[in-house]
Amino acid sequence: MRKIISIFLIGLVAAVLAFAGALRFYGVSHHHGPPDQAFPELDWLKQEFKLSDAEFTRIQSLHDDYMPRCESMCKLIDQKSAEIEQLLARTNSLTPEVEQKLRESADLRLECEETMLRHFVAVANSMPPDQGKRYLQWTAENTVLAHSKHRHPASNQEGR
Amino acid sequence: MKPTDENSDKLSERLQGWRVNEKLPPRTADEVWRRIALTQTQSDSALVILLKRIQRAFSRPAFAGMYVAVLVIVGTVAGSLVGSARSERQRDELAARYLASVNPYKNVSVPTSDGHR
Repeated sequence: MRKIISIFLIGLVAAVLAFAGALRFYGVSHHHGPPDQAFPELDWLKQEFKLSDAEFTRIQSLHDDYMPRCESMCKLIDQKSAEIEQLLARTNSLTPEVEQKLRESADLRLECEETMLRHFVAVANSMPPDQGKRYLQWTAENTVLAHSKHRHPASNQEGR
Repeated sequence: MKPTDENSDKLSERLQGWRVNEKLPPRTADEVWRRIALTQTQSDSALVILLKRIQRAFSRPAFAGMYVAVLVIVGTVAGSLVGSARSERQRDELAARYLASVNPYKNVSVPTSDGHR
């Protein structure tokens, strides 16, 4: 009886070890970078777009240059949104002042999207051509093109 | 012969008037308990038979090896499935984080129909 229990336990321990090993292998094998690094998303970028060390260093530098501009744009967007919100809280009509702020907001969006796209193009050009094309398509679709993809319910039905 | 109502009534009367006057044989109760115990012993022995079969199977090295191998395979497959799903989720999260880091409009929320942001 003791032998059966031993074999039973050995089987269970072996299964647990196999589970842990496979979990570790399949769970982390695609990410070789240290898990506690400051920007794991950049490490993901390197893995996802199969970048060499030189390409990655160049992209990292582009990212570092872009980030302060991105943050200042964020502040400007927040500021502009707050201004429009305050104006709209004071009135229920579309005053010339509101129209002016909306135009400024649209100009700001244009400027932000241009800066963002310029950064994406620079990053894409630092990648191998096929990966760069894929990166540019993915980033554009999920940023500047994301809000232009709203579909009217009627057009959805037509597409079916 | 068909039972008539009259016959049926008579039979009922007789059955109601029927009394068993004979005493039960000695040790009837003991016999009943013995039989109950015997039934339990028979079901126990089925368990014992099963255990013996398992013991006999595990005493064969080929079976024991197969048992361990099957558990290792099951563990590996389960671990790889869970690991892959976890890895996929992590990739999606990092992709979303990257996009959020480069998109100045990441925090711009769209008002919902009830007016809440």
